[in-house]
Amino acid sequence: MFSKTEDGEIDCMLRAHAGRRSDHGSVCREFDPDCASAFVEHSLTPGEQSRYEGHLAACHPCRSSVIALARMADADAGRSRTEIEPFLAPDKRARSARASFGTWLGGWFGPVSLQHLVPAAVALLIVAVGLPLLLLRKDPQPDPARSGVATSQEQAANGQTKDGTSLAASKPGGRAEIARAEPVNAPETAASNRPQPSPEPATKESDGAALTDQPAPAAPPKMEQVDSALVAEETPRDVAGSVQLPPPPSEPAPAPEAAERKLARIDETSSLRVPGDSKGSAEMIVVKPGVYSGAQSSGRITTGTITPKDAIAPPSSLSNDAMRRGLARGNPEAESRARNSSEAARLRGTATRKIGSKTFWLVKGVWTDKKYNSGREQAEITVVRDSDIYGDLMAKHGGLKVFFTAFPSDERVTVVYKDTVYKLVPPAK
Amino acid sequence: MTVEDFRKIFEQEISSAVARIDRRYSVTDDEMFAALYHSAKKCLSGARVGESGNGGLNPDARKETVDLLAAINCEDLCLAVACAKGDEAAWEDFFREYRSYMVSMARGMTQDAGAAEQLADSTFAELYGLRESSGARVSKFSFYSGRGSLRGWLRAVVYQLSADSHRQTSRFVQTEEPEDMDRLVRADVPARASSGELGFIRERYRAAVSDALRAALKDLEPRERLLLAYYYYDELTLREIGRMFKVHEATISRWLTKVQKRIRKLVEKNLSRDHHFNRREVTEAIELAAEQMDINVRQYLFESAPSDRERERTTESAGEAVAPR
Repeated sequence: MFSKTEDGEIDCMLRAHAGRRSDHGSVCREFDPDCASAFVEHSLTPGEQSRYEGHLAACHPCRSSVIALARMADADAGRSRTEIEPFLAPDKRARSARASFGTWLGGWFGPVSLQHLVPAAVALLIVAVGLPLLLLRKDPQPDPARSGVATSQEQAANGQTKDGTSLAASKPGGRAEIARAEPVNAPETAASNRPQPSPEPATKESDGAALTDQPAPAAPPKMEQVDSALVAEETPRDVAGSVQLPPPPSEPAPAPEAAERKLARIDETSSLRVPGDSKGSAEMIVVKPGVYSGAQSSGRITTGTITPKDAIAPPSSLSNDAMRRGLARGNPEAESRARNSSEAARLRGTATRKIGSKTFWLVKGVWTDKKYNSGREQAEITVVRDSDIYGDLMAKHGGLKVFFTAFPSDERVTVVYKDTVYKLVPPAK
Repeated sequence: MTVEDFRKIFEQEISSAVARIDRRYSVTDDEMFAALYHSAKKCLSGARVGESGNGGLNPDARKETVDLLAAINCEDLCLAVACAKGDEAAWEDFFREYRSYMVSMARGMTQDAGAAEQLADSTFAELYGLRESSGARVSKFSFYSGRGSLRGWLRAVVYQLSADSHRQTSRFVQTEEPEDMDRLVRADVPARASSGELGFIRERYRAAVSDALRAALKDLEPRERLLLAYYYYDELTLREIGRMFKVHEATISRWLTKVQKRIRKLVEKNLSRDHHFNRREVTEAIELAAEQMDINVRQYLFESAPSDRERERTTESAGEAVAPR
């Protein structure tokens, strides 16, 4: 996590005598339990703290005692394993490093975080359940400001939306279409010639386009263009927008079952025609593909939820390893790059140490060279620290010395040096 | 400064401290005031509290004393004073509350149930006070100042007795570990192997860097030296060190980097000033020293030990002198 050896040379010099273990059981003759325990509990006054730190810096036995007391205090406090972990022996630390992900996760979802997460989760659940219900209730009266379109009444009056497009259902359950209206129909004309509007005309939003289904205006827009491809594949599951389908103005509201049946059957020829298109004053210009997810009927209103195809979110930008690999499939170089990248991300532990020009990650208790790739075939040499081979290697490859000696003697290290992997292991005790 | 002076100056703080005590046992106000006085005298240096007098108490000492009195564990201190007096009720409470804890501590240190019981018993004996001074029993409780918790203090006492016991039973154990011997031998090899002009240059560089490093480490603050000792010689992790200093491990990481930079700066400065090295020589010398790694940095780091110890001893002796109550 932290690069703590930025100055490699000074670091090496300071490590010159690293590895010396504390003298177990030795206590300074001037050891003061009162002072030491207060120091461990951070209860010393600033002046005394400074004085005692000065003594500790110079007195190895006192320092060892204080460290031991701190460990005991930590264990005594009965803290969680996560908190005790740093005071465990190195071999135990190595074992616990394997569970680093769990520890990390535990840190995030620990008791304190949980206190905040529970209300958030409950709120999320309420929103997840309540929002669809709220939307269902609000469907008959959508918010024009939100949908960016005029209300159905306005559209009925104008025969068009603000941006000049409107979706008209040629007949109940029929194909919804977006049409560009010509400005020839003055509002007053439209208003005067408006047929009996349906009891509850509605406006639906899809992909930012104004979608209305309403009775045909007196002067319906002229049809200009139709997306022939969409017309060809027009099915009940392929209707743009989410529309509510009121009964035709001239007919009484059909029974819900009938409306549902009508929704399921779409007349291709009639779907191309805007209601009241006998004058040929409207032209269809855009029909967006969508996915129809079924019909619901509620009293006199039959609704079908239609999700525009182009509203479906595009694939995310290569954030997922699997997806990245999948996309890279077929391209060996890209695939290899993606695999290496994901493996590097997997390998990267929480602890990072930079020795000279190399970066080491603590992976499963082993300080692993960043350049080490387990999937790559490389010569591997396992070296026991302080063995004869270790001495020979140090004599032969001076460059290795820096990396081998930079870590405590009981740490395992994997170094890639001159295309050879050296695995340094501590001597058996 | 007498107890009475102390009581007058810090009357308000003492009153609020004493008011925090729930159970007083047989401890009188005067005994409690005396205990607080000795704690303050022990914690702060004797000169600052004892010689300043009422009017001449320096503001820093006053503030420090006020902080101390506000933070002192009066409840624990009162129990300790009562136990030191031999109050039976206090001892009962102490026994009931801390006996099992002390045994478990001792068990953790000795890894042996029998030895743990023995250690706990000897700790109790020390706490009661088997030694006598001027005909009076000296209880170990007399040395408790109330700064930390009584539990923490007991832990340290048990640890101390355990270590003393360990030292007595393993007097003939070799203190230097084999790795140290190997390291010394290995460190000596390159120095002997190098010869001729190259060897001369190396030796010159090495000696110069040694001097420069020694001077640089001497210039460090005590806290910086302690940080290096924790990290390089005690091999504590950043988190452990952070816990010791009560800061986040990221702060420790920054401190370490800062100290390293400071050492380099000082070494470079010393090399160019004292040894008249040019920039290239400075770089080469440091590189070489880092490769050879046979400079006894530990010795340099701990060279300041005598002065620190003397100062500490002075402070502690002042405290110890007044500690038995």
